[in-house]
Amino acid sequence: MLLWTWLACSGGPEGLFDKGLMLRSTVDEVMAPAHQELATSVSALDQALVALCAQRDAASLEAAQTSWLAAKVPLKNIEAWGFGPYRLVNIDVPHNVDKWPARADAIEAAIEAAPQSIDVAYIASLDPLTRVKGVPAVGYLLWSEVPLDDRRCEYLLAVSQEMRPYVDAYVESWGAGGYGEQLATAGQGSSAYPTDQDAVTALVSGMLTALGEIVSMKLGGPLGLGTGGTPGESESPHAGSSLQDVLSALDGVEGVYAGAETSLQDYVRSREAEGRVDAAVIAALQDARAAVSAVPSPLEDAVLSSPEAVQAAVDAVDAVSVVINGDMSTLLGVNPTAVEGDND
Amino acid sequence: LRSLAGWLNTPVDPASLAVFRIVFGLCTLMGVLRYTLYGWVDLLYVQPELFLPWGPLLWSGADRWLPGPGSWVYGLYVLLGLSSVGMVLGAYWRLSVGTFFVVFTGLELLDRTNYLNHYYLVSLLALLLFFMPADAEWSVHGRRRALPLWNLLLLRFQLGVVYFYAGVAKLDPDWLAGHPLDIWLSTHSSRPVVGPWLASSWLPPLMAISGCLYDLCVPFLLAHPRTRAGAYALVLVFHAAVGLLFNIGAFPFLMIGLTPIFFSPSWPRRWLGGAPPEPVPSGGPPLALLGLWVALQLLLPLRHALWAGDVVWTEEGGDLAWRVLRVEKRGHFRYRLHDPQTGERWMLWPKDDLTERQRHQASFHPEMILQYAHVLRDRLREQGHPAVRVYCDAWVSVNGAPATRLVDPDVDLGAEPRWSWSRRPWILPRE
Repeated sequence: MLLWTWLACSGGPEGLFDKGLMLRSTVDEVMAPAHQELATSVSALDQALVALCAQRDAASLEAAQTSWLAAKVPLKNIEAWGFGPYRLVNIDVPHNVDKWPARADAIEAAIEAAPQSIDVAYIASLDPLTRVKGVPAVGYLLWSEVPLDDRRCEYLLAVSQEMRPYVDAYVESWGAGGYGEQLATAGQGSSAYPTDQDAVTALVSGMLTALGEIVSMKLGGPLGLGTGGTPGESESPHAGSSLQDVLSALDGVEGVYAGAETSLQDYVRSREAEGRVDAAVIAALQDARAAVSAVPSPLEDAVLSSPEAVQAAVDAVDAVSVVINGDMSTLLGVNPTAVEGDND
Repeated sequence: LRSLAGWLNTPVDPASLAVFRIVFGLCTLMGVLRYTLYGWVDLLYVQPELFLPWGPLLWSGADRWLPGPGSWVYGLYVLLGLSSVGMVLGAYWRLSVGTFFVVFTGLELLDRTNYLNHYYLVSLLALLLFFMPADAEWSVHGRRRALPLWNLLLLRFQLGVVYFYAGVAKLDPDWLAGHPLDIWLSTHSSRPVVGPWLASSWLPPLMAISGCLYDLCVPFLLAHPRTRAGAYALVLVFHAAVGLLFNIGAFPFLMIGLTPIFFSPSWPRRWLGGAPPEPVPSGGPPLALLGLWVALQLLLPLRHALWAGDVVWTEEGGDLAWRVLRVEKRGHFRYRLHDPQTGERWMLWPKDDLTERQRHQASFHPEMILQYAHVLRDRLREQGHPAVRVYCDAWVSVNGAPATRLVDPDVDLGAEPRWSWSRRPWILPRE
């Protein structure tokens, strides 16, 4: 007891990292801007589609395609924090906005089967699992070799209008007083995150989920890793931008880690003076970016012509998971797999 | 030997064992309610696509006939709840405690990713209680009678083994230097008042050494009448602190509630009153069985010494050994499959088959990694790839150290035996 007393009196509290500030910075400086960009770019896409259908020329088509590619960037960024409202029943971004890849045959069949006037109600009646709506379907129609006639334009505009309420609801849910506040005030009255450690766990878990999706679906799917080598579907085959999707998703992960003034990276550094774990995370992210960038575009061709480059990208992205799930999580005492139940 | 038998058979007041029974039943009832109300039955036994059964079941091949995940487990939880109530009341004692033991242990064996040291303790205590007249006092059906001293001694021994070997497991340079306590305590740095101290650098080694000494000494301090009260005060402080800092469920309640078995057999009568029942002649103690049990409990936690290598890393002989709250490990693993006959190759992550909890537990446990490799092998064989080979890339980080490979990536795990008594050569040493 004497020893305890002496030690308690002799050694005062050491410099503490402010996890609350880190969470606030991450929400305000990384997530909120991405949400704002998502809302703006989806709105811009909608306007570009209206303009395209009003004047179907090459310039309008190119403008719409550019808008579509711009909207994909924040849509992929937010996968790095795909928790909370992201999969909430009435929002469910992956299901209602971004169920990829678009299925050309199914979309053509949906246009064929549509009533004389194609409206939002018709699109809403279509099952998202058939991959005929949302951002991917817009991408298919914009890059389709079939010219945009009146009927395809009606379908295109209805798809765009049908998905916007989901995007708006998602952005609003993170807005003022919403989920972002829950995350930023973790451990200080937040009902979603009773402790700041819960929020840190959510951040790490979100990063790992996004990385897992990149390796097994965005890259591994087209490479045929789950099918014995038979190439599978890629994310944006019609636009040929599947590799850009991967890079945008990696940007999201990097943003969560180091994108804020006071970031998760600073927390990692505060826990380890030598900086080994931080250096390992940064190096792994850089390697992953380099490996993905080294894959010849488009991905759909690369899986046939340069499968070893795609495999190298898979390995490099998976290596980021190794560092985050291993070194970083144990250093922070984070359980990214959210083990529930008792422990000992 | 005769005098030992006579001493072990000394009739004693059944009051403390009755309280032990009631507390034990209340704790198991609490566990059943927690699992049901928090949705953990669903999470652990209904949602999984498959179970990873416990090792000996693999060895015997019994896992092939085991039921898979499903809502049928809820029926077993009803049985667990009813038998817990039966234990508390002392109703149909043998039936209640026997049912509880069989069902609870069976569920634990079904999926080893659910293994916890204190669940193992619950199984052992239920088994011991089955052979004891714990309904001899304050029960609805039991017959009031004195009980032989060996009943209490065996339960004290069992609890003492838990503490002592938990201390032995902590005799490790990493632990004594404060790892991983430094990691765990720092996660509480935002707590009011104590938070800053929990993040200090001096506290983890101090707590690590204190915890080790506590575990090693407390059973002996509890056994001695002069130090017993103080030792029990330490038990209260220790388990309250552990319960507040770590997510270990009912374990603190269990230990705080059961440790009074070290006190005089009549201690509850100070508050509950009543006179002890008259002693009645009973048969001799089962000396051979008692000796066997004691030897087993003393040796089993040390069996990891049979395998060369670091038990913290290899996990070989790491369970049933009271290595409680000992290490912080995280792993990441994936499988590469190759059919040399067709040239087809696969790379699979276990996220489609295993739940997050299963993945987490399996990620740093070679035996579970092997089990899942066999699941993949069998699946591919059924799909027409009889010669499929299964390789695993598994990286594990211990206490924040760099993640390194756990499994030899060039060994075909599909060809490795399901169960092994010897060290598995494909487990790589810790770098």
